[in-house]
Amino acid sequence: MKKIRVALLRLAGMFRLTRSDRDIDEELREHRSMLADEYRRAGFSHAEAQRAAAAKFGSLTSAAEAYRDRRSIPALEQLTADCRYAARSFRQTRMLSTSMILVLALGIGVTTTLVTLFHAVAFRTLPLPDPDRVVKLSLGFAGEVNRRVNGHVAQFSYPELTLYQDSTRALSGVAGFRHERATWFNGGNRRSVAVALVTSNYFKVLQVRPASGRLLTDADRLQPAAVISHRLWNDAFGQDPAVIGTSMLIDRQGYTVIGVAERPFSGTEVDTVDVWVPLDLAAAARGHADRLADASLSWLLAIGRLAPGVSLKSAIAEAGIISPRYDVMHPGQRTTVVVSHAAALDAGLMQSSSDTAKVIGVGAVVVALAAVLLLICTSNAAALLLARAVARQKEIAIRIALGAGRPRVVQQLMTESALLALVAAAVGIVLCTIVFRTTAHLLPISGYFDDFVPDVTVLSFASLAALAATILFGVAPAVYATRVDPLAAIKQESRGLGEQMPASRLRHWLVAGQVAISLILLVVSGLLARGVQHALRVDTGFSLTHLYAITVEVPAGSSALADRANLVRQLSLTLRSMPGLDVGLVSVPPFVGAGLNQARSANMSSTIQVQFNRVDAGYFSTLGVANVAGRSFRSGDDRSQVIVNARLARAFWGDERAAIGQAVTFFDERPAAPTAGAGPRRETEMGFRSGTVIGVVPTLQTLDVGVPDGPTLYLPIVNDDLTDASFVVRSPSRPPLERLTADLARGTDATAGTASLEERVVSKTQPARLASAITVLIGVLTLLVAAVGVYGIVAHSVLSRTHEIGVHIALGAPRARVLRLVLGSSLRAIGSGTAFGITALLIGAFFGSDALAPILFGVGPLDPLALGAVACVLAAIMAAAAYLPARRALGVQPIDALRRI
Amino acid sequence: MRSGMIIWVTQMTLPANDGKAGKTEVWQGTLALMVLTTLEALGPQHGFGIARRIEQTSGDRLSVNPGTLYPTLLKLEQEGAITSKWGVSDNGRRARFYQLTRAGRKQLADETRQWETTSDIVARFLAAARVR
Repeated sequence: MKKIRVALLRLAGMFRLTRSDRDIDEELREHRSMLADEYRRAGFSHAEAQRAAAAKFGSLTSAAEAYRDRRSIPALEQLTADCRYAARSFRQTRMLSTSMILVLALGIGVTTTLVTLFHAVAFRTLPLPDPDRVVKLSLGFAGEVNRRVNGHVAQFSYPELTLYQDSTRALSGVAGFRHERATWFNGGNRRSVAVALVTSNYFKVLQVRPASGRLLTDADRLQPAAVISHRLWNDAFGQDPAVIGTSMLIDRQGYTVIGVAERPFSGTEVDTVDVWVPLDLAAAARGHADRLADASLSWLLAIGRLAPGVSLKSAIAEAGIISPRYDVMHPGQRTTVVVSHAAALDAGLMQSSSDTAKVIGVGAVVVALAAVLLLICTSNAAALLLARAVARQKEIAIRIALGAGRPRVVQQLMTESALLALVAAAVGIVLCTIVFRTTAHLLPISGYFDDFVPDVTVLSFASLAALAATILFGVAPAVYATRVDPLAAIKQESRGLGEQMPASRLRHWLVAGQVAISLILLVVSGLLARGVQHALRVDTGFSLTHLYAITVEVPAGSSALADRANLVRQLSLTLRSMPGLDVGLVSVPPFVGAGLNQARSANMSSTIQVQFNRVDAGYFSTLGVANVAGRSFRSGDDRSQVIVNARLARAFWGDERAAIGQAVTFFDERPAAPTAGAGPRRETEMGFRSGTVIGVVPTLQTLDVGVPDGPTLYLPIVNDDLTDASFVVRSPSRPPLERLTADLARGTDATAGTASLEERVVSKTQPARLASAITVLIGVLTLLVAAVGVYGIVAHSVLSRTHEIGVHIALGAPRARVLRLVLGSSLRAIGSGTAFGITALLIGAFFGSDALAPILFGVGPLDPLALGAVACVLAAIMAAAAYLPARRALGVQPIDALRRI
Repeated sequence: MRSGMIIWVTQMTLPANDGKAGKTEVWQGTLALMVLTTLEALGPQHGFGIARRIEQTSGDRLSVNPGTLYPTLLKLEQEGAITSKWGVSDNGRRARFYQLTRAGRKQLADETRQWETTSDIVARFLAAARVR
């Protein structure tokens, strides 16, 4: 308690609220006078008494100093004094200080922005209580796999989920869910919403709290109840509490809103959820009632919570025990259950896994580059500070001569750097916020950065960056500046040799370092840019110009499939009656996704995974793809005729032509075998059947840009099987197609859309293009910063060596000689920097080309022509930056220089 | 004060040129105790008076440096052991007068007790050593 009281009083003393300076002086002076009085009483004369008193008392100044030190907190006062001094000296060199702050702010701001983004993507924590106790489950299969997939193969079926729920002890609860997109019909408006179908224990397992109303429970299992997200509540209802109890029509089912989820929660996956509805009811309402009983259908994600006191390892062990029970459910198949932390990045379970992985790969590279930019900016600022410190040597020498210890002067110089870094960090944070607010809609994490306010992550990172910047750019110049001989510095004799040796060596490394890093950054950003260019030109195997995909969407409901088939039939008739169009039907249009299946040939022992699609006779001709062998589909073909692509043909039979007439076994609907015993007789069932290859087409790229298709199997679209068909259309113009789809959808609750496949390809390369644009920007900025740095350094060097230059000129040195004198060291630094940069690039290319391959889209990591060109351009710009101020040296009048002694 | 403070000594320099080579500077740690004792004995007193009294009590073997006395007085005031206010001395000089507070009296009593215990223990050790 006493310590706090003392501390507070000393703090008050800093503001002179306790003893004033005058009081202190007066008290001490009176003490000395009383001493003098005493001596006079003892018989001394007036003058002798004064002298004796002064001698006994000691120094008034140092006593007052000790008194004042006790009154306040000396360390804090020193700091305040340093800050004020720093502010004053910044005001005196406004240009230099501003440019230093801007350079640092750029470095800190860019790095903070990119690290925050990377952190958000890679280390997302779920906004739930105890998020590290939430786990996710997924399945793995081996053996004879008969699996239907509606999503990802690792997902659960409903019976499998129930089995796990009933068997587990290590998890306090297991919930299942599925994300789908649906249309919310709100009065006359249609709004696309993300719907999550969840089991009744979902909110209980995750321990979500309601912001208003209540959440789904077991009682709501078969009720048309819905919980909306806070974001939807805010955007669509204005946070109106009266929304509870109202009805929402989602696709063809009405739901009553029973509550709103708490603010930060919008599902556990990357894609945000707007509405949660009960799985049991909604699946049936959306026309998928049969899915609930299907034990071999992968369609549900599973998430659970570790029971109190149970570790993840125990849960994993338990999963190993429960797994064999699935083998009873699926004879011939071996199932494993994988348990892992929910927040961990698992590309396998996300629906757009390859996109996410690519984004992260690109993100990591960009973050590394930004950190390098920070390094350049700080070394730039260091170089400028060093130049300034060299110019201030006289001032520093005087301070040391007056008795300041070297550490004290270093402390003051470091305070200046820290102040600069703090201001720069503040500007950097503002920059970061502005960037996020304006580019939020471009980022892959939807909704994450909408109301971006710098949070703990950003602030702590910016502070860290500022601290690093301070130490990096403050220490070396401060230490070198104080390594000065006061007497020589005051007399300016040290200028005789040109410059202090240590300072010039530091400068050499700073310049060389900046040049090397600029070179590396520019080359890498150039490679990225070229990679993206290359990707855009990539050959998909068919022409994309004027190619469109027309899709029809019908709200989920029990008659949805039939409705959709009707619409597709109507559209098909209309399209084929329009002149000048090429029309084809396909079940999975290009660049949308992939159907998967298992297939094998007669002489293979097990099936392999193949891509799978249903197409009609006009598909390949619409794409402009000609057969490699055999023929294309024609009317009259049924499921016994198949087409394969070249890759499958080669994998199964070694040669495209050899494929014709061969048999392929695959998983499909087939006539039902008569079942023994009870149960309704079905006409068809799902199982393996075989077909004959009647044609081979070339291997295309319909999955993703730059990724060739795997082995692919094509089945014909039989006339009555239009339930999942879409159109590919080659049309010279787009508006007629759009008019057609608009007319079709009018008056129904269906949506029909026309998409350009060319645009779709372009948008798939968007993350890489964004990253490459950013990297090129960073590269150019780095070059600018380095050039400005070199300019500044040489300019200061000229200034500080004016005396020496004047002497040289007076003694008759030719202008060229003078230039060499001034430029020599800078050019040497630029040269060694370039050499370093090239070496580093060569080493990096040798070891790292594999890691960078996915984002380089097939461009070789080192194109000698490109590398050479960049290096030359860089060196030229740097040399120019050095030459411009050097020219001023030529204009030095010898007599002026000599006068400056 | 703890016994450790006997070892922690500041300003053991002898005053340079006033011929009082025999006097030692007051140990800063014990100065506070001496100030409190003085104020208890004399009642409210100014800095000069306190210094004089301490020097007299020590039989002129101690010399009080104003550069250490006043910071000590301020420290005691910050800790709440004493208070101060301006007043007029006997000679008509303006001076700041210091006086004990109740907390100060308690602190004095505690520290006196500690000192007595400490010096008692040390005395025993010295006696034991002398016996040998």
